[in-house]
Amino acid sequence: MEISDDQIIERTLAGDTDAFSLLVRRWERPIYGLSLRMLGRDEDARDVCQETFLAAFRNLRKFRGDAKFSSWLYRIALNACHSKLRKQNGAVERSIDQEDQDGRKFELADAEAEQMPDRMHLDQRAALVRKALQALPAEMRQVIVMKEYEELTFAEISEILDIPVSTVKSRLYTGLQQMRGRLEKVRAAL
Amino acid sequence: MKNRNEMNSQSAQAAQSSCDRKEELVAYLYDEATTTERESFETHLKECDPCSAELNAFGRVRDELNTWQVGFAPRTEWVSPRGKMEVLRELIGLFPVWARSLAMAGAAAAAILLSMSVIGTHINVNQGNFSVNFGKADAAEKNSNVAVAGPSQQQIESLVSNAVAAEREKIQQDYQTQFASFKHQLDTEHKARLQAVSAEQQARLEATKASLRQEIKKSNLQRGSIRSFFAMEDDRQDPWSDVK
Repeated sequence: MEISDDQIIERTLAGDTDAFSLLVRRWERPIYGLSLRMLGRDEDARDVCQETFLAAFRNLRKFRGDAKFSSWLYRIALNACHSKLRKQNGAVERSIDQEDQDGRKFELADAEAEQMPDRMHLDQRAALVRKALQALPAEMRQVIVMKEYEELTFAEISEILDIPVSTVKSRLYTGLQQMRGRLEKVRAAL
Repeated sequence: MKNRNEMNSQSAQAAQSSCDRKEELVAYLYDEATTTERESFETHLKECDPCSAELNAFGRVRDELNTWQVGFAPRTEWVSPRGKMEVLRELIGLFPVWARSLAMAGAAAAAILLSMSVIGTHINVNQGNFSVNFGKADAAEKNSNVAVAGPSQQQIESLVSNAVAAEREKIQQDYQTQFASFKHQLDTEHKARLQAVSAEQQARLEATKASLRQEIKKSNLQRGSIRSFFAMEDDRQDPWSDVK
């Protein structure tokens, strides 16, 4: 039987600090995925991942059992993402027509564009999505990431962000609408 | 392609002006609606084209979103940060045993002094008399049959300065005694060493002299022999004197 998060926390607080590595192994993938989709850069996502677990370890005594550990961890990770985004000073608010952070311009050859739905390679489509997602305001992006990729329920997202479920739904709706608009705009341009 | 895009765009505009059931639409889209909500919304969808179009469009957006998959997550390097006590313990471990013992003795002395001050211990030193009272000053004075007047600040200072002076004098005397003893010891050792070296040199000199005398004697003997040999030669007749 798999040991629960709460049991690992109890062991860690009792002095078995190595037990915390079990939580790291269990949650590093979702936290990395969330950070990567929020920030768009592997390096930043790794930093946030590290910061999240370190902050969680240091503040473990403050963790109250009334919320799920994962929710608490997601909240720490999102705060770290927002902090990084603030440091980037609005770099995320760029158009999908602009260069990406590595200086590469996303474009397809005209000949290929005619047959885009069939021929477009999956990673190119993924790059398009990444750019469109990053161009969204952070408050909508985080809801889409948590719902679509982390498969959290509306209630869980509401708990993590400390907002009503109705607000979660409304942000998700607006986010999807904007994503739709951006993706269609790119398709039309191609 | 363009026609399709235009159609999509038109349908998007139409959808954006749809009725105000967006929360229900989202709940239905992500399969989080209750049975009643789902049935109600499905009925609505049959009548509302914009909502239906928007639902389909959002489905496509979701398909697009899912093209971005994270294949792997790099392993987070995790080493549990050490607590302050752990770091302190390691730091103490770096010191040699004697230093740790000294620190512990100091800590123990400080603890004793602290506890003495807490329980109100009074130590009186007056003209060779020494007394220790435990407990609060008032209680000690009340319970004591002999009234012990506490020394004044001046007396304490005088006592302390006398004690310090006496101690200093004692240390100086000890130092001088030790210094004299050490000097005497050094002088004795030095003299003995000098005598030994001198005797050794004298013996070596005598031996050299004796050896030289022996050599001279031997040389004289050899010289005498040579001289007598040549004297014989002079006396002998020249065997070649007749030969011409």
